[in-house]
Amino acid sequence: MTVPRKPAPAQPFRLPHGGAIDRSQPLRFRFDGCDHDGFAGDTLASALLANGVHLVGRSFKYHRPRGIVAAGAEEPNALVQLDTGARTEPNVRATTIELYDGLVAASQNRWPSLRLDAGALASAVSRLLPAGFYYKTFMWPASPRGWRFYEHWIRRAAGLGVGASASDPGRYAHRHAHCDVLVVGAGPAGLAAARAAAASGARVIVCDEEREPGGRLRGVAGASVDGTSAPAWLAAVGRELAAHPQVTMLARTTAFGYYDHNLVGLVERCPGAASEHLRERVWHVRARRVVLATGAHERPIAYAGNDLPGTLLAGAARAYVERFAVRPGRRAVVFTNNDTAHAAALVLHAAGVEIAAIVDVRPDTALVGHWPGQARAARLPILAGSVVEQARGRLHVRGVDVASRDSGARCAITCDLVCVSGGWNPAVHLHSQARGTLRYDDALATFVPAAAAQAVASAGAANGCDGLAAALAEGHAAGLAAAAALDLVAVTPPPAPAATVATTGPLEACWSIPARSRGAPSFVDWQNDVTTADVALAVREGYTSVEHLKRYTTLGMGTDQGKTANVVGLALLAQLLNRPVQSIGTTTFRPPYTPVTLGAVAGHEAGPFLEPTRRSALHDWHAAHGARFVTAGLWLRPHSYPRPGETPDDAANREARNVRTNAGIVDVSTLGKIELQGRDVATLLDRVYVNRFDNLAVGRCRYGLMLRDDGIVQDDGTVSRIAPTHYLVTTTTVNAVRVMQQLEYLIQVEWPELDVYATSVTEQWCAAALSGPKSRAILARIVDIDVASAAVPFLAITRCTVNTPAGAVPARLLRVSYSGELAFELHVPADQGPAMWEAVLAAGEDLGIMAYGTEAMSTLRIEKGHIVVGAEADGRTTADDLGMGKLVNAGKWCIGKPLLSREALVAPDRWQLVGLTADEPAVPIPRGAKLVADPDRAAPNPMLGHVTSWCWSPNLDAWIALALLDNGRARHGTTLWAVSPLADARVRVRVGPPAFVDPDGERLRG
Amino acid sequence: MADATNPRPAGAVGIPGAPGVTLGPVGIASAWNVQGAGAAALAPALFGTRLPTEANTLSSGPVTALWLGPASWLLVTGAAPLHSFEARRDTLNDAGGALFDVSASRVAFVLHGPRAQEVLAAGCPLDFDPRVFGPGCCAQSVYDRVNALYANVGGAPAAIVVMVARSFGRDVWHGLCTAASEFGYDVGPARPWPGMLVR
Amino acid sequence: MLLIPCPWCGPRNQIEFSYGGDATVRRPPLDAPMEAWTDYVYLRDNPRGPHDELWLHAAGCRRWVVVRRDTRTHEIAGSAAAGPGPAGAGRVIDASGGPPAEAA
Repeated sequence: MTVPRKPAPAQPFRLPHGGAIDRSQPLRFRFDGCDHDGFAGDTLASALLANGVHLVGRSFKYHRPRGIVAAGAEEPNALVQLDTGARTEPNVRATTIELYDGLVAASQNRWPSLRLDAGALASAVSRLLPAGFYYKTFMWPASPRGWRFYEHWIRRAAGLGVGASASDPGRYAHRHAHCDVLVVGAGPAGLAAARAAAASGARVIVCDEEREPGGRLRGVAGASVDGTSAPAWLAAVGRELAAHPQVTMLARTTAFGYYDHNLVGLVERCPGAASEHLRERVWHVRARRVVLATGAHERPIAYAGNDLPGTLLAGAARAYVERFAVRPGRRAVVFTNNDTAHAAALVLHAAGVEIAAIVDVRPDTALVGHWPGQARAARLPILAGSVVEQARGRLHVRGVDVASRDSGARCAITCDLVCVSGGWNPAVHLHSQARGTLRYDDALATFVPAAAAQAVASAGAANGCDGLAAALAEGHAAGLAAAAALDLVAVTPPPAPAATVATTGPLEACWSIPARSRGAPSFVDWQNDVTTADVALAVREGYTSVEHLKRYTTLGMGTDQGKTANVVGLALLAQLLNRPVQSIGTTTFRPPYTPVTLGAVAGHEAGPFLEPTRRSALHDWHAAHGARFVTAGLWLRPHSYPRPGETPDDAANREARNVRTNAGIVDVSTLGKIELQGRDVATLLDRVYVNRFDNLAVGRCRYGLMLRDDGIVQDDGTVSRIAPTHYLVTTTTVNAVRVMQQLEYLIQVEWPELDVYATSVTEQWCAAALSGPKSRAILARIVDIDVASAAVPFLAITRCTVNTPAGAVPARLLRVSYSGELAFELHVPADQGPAMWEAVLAAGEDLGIMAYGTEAMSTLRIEKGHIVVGAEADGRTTADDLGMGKLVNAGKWCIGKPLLSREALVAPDRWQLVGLTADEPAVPIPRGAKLVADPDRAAPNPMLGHVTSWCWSPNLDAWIALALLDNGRARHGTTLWAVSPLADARVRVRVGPPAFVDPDGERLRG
Repeated sequence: MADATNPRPAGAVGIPGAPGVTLGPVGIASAWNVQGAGAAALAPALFGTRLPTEANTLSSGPVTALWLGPASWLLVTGAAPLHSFEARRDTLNDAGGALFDVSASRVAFVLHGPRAQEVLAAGCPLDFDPRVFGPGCCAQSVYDRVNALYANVGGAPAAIVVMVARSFGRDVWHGLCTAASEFGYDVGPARPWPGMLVR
Repeated sequence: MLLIPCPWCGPRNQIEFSYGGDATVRRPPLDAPMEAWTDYVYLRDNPRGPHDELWLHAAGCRRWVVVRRDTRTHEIAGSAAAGPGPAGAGRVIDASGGPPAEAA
């Protein structure tokens, strides 16, 4: 880092003592170009607050200044751009970033700077940008272009962070895991559940998103469990579980998705800055039972200016004091409708924060719980029956206006911190993702889990449970119950952890405080800038369904998915509709619970490992001899073997020419190969192929064509009879898996009475096709049998031995030809493929043999007019379209035959296979050309057909093609135009039969 | 076995000290697929081995017989190849069964060491806990997206053999090494199919 | 990712299976009229609720199985061999009974 550093200020808001931080490990970090100090154990948010930095971003739509609101994963505001360069990550919550030395982060969505943001003009005119504004305004002029014109500018103005432009050097991994009981959340309830389940003999996985267990109990020195202080109890239980052989403790691990059949997705963040280090790991946990102890999120109350920096959720303010020894302000107003904020006020007070007032919406008579009593005893000023109407300030809160609900009397209170609590929402996300139902609880004024839909139970605050003692008891019971459901019961069940019960007074539902005047907006959803006025507008315009409200206002659609916003928004909708909240329901909870990086999703399946690669046994030879590879399905195949100075196409032309003059050898190992045995193989083949196989003799092979049930060509290949009850079937490379699956289906399900057994032998045999007029001479030099035509006629299969320097290699020899030349296929066990291949090349060296790739192979087969399934047989063509109608045996049934006589399949105007030759040798037939009679005719120009395969024929010195052409066989001898409007190319073509070389097949039979 | 003896992947993080896992290629002399309901009765006479009838188990001896499916097994030998394929095939065909020579179809790797289970869990959804997948268990599943056959051939801690189609061998080897790099690993020498290890 | 009970291998991850479509359609007799064949090839019900469907345990034992899956919830009521299966097979297993450990 060569940028001169600004001097690092002290940490003016750090408390001298306490917190779960390591003061012996100071860390230096940089935020928006300014250096700060923090400690190990800090989050970026706590370290910023320790340095007095509240303003961390501008809001999404109005560019309003925003500060840190929460202390955990629910944070809506403090999204930062973390790190730089290839490792940069946008929209990361500062509240979940563990501080490390040298951390660099920047605020987002501001220009030119955070304090002076041009986009904040939007804030001044926010009333002109209501919900649905974009939909209503930017559609003019009424054409698709209208939106596109504006979109560019809107996306710029309303952006968040930016993605990395360089490839991420970090590593990511996945792991599958199994357990009896998965406990999500290691707060008090989760720890109690894990301990109880493990004591019952269950295999347990416990995950928690924080770096150490404890949840909201972390750092709470005032609480005690089982007679010891909470921090000591947490440490002891954490150690106990980590050492337990049946328990896996996963820290820094978020359960982000609950999927079908109790599959839970976790993402584990692995600390460390080394670029080769594992950054994140996704766990696929298949759990027999799940206990959700995911805690609860505090919700705010909407009032004018409730988004000013310096506004924190009360529980978060407390956590910053207790967990991080950070004072989030000097003088605080606490605004609440429940008892928990009174406890927070006491913690702040003890840390030296002046409590200017606890503004409680409840009347004095409702403040009967333990914590309001303690607050009174500590002489904290409590304004019961009052509300915060408005917060004042520009870049930070400077004070609030408080009004009495009874008298209407108002007063202004100066403060630099507002701690707000509108109650707590159980984190029901995973319960709901598992399709569990929710119930609105009037006492808690929120949704709590009702019926579970999978093998899952919620416990503790996630279940709406109130207080530490109850959470411990409920977690313990849930752990025992989960184990018991699996018949795992401890001989002597451990006692439940115990804590003191604190009485609580009733909560009073309070969602929003009506604004007195047209002041600052009241925000419901901080992240997406949704205000109470937006909700009201949506209702006025008829968007009264919760799903419509969400989409119209974007409520809850930010990266925080409305963790702090949704329940408030729903309750406001219910109020406006004058209906109970229960009847409003919630929007659908979907994974992920918190954002998951694409790197984690991909795991190590990235770059060359995006999908598995299949390599032939000859791959290393191809690579060593300069092959340029292409993919065919998952296979890597040699396209051609360019020599120095040659382009790949030059090489392919040379290779193709050589096959017709001398000989060539091509790797055809990728073809699907299936062996069939049994007494009824011929019967099966007769039902599967259009042609007959019951009369195929041992030692012979035959071309076969396979249809789909709808009569369309599915695949082709050869069938060889190796022995009376043993057959070899080949398929195309791409259909190998599908054909095998279909044969297995037919054998197992449709015709189980047939005595047929099948296995795929694609991987067993390395296959090479030796083609060309000199192929027989070459073969004769290395095999142990007579290969004259009388001994090995066209379409024969026989066994032989290939003599190689490495020894004799057993082989199957097939006399089949794809190139149209005299040709043989040698099949040898895959591990002996290289020996066979090199022996053939050595034997043919003086006769001019060359290896050839798939491009030359394609040229040769186009010249010969052989079809390819996928090009000529394109899922719409019949056997007759391809000129193979006579292959369909009239005397027997086969798959696809009943529908072959459909009117559409026998119509006279079907597209039929033809050959095309370009009139001008210098003008290529354009790729994917369509065939028309008159290229200059105005659109729509009737399309008579299209080109399916095309190549430069080095043997004919012309551009040739195969094509499917309307009534093509009747058009032989005519001329048409092959045109490509995309390439702006055209060429005149002559139509002829689809065979350019040796149409009578004399060569291949020679 | 040229496919399997890939060098360590670049960027592997070795951990000093004892490796968490040792992995290495395994040689297969013969691998024959036996099918058919009639095969089980003939197997002891034909192959000198019992065909396991319990799903996802193997029976060990000079020839290891792995259960592949109902009425389908894989006979594997490491050092000595099996002979007389055609005569045995004809016997099985006559009895309502089949015999396919797939000796070169698969490549195999063996993993052992304290972290072997975690290396496998990086790519396979099976539960490799010894209480679930103990010695003598075999199962077909996937490694990453490649079909794979796993066999616990015993030993302490147990050695697990992974067999995959030959064409995927290099990818799977790379995947295993990448997963193992987290724990540090050694590449052991190629060795023949082990049968059952008893220690 | 579903956990599909294979009648032979027990509950296994969906990634090991290949979907084969509606298990309730039957190939018509060979001499059936054209209408029966077009129905067989083209017409499928789209039931809401339990549905018998074919899955091939492609990365496992390579047997075709019939799985009764609720199309609303993905709940699987059980599975059985598709077709008669080899001798001794074809038992219907109750998905809720077996342990969901993914290896037998």
